[in-house]
Amino acid sequence: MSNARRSITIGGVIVALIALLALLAPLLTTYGPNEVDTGAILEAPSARHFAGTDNLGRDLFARILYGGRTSLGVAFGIVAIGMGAGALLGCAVGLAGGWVDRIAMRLVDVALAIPSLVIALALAAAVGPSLVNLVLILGGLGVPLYLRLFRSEALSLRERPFVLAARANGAPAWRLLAVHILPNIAPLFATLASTALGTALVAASALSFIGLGAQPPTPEWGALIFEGRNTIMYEWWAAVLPGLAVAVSALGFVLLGDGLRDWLDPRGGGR
Amino acid sequence: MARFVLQRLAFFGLVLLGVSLITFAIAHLAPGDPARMMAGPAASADAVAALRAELGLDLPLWQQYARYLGDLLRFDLGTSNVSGEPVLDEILARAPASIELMGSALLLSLLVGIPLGIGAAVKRGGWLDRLVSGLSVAGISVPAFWLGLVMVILFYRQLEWFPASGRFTGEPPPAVTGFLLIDALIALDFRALSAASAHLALPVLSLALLEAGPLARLVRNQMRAVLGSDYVRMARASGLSERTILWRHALRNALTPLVTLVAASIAMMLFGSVSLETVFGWPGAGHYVVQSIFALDFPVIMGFAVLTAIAYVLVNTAADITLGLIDPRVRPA
Repeated sequence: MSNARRSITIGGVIVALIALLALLAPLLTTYGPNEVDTGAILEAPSARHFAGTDNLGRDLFARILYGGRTSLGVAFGIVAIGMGAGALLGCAVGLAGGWVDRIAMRLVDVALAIPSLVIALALAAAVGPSLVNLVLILGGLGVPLYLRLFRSEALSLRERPFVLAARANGAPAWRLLAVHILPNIAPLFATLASTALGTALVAASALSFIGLGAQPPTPEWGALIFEGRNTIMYEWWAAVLPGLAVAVSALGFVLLGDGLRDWLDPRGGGR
Repeated sequence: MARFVLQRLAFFGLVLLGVSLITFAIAHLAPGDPARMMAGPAASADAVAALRAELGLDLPLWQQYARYLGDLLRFDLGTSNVSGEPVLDEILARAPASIELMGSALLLSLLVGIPLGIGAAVKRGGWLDRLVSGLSVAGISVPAFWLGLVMVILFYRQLEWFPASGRFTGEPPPAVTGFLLIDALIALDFRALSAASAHLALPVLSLALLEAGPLARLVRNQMRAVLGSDYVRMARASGLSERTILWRHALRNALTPLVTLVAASIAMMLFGSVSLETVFGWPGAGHYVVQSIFALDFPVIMGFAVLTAIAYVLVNTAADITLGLIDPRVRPA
């Protein structure tokens, strides 16, 4: 099996498993993520509580499963906004060319020279921490990078014979974009999206960990690591397991993205 | 060459302008009336209005921005709501702790990453090559603050090898530079040196482990490109030994892009160290900003964003210019 195929298989299996665990959470545990049980505080893992309970007696296994729904949903939201807007704008700018393109690229250069995660931190603190704000902020800050990547893709597509033919036939710009350009960036989109989901998971968990994402009692992996941190001396797994979930999921997405890239472009250098 | 440097400096100015516009906009989004906050809940409406005028909050937006820019240029970042001290002083007082942490981590990741990358490039598909691939994927996927927690559990809770909190224990060496390692060396205080190193061990290891992978990968890819190039083939055809080719010809050309990557690593660390310092109770700027987030101390949060953004842009511009000086190929003609 080639390296690319192996990465796709391993990454794909990990991603599918994690997604299934999150989706099927209500079937996999009888506990609710916020179900407090004062009779079962700080219990060690057992047949009743697979991952033990926290200081409020909440079942940690349930919180991690439901936390996956939050964390994966947040990552999907971030990538959908950042890459969706980036791809659309990038292709539009690439097709338009001329001064629109020059000004947009100058702005992108400036935006990319500013450390976006630090800006995200200040912005999240200013507008008030919430999951919706986190998605909007991290998504929005991703736009310049994807704008640039999809613009250069659109530039190369623009000169391809089938696009030239459509233009010669007088196809309007929106039609070029919708029919000829956007469908052809799909492979690049899938590749970049997979890697982006991995990095979005890590960034969102870090911001939640410092109080700028999910607010208690919402189960979210970064917030769960923060909660588990307080009881690290009694039950180390409370902080370790949700972090492991972040790392393994991100690993799955990154492997899948790497594999897709190498598969689509076998000449490129591997990781 | 002068034109290249001027170009980079002009871009530097443009980016700083961008930073100031963004942070000004964010500061405006922050909740609460700054005048009311400063005057206190007991102040009369007149007093608040007077303070508002004094702060320039009743001016048109562009004049407020001009004032903000003027303050920034004089390094006036406002005062902390919590301590009442200037934000700049508060952050600068904690900067040496952060820089010592990040600097040590960067040094360690370079010491590990460069040899790993060279080894991986020389023997394609070997175990070093696979190790570098694995480390680089892990470097992206594993959150640094979580790795820090795992280190605390392993090396503090279980093995009790290293301390898990703070920067120092015992009598600190006389402060000269603010960097404990250097101050301890100056004072020839080896007990202090070992105490400072022990506290650095776990946070530095957490950061460096994750940075070393992507670094090694870049070195490997660069090295491979160079080893496959025409001039290396030429050197080989002339009968030069593999060792001479590797160390004299290939390495120098492969390592120049590292300047750019080091700058990028610093950006990652600036953010990563915020949560990592929190995990280790490290008395640096990152931990301070997290405390300020929970205390709703907006001037500090904004000041931190402005300062780190400026520091990052500065490092990047310096890296660009350095790269242009040592490698004429990247200079625009």
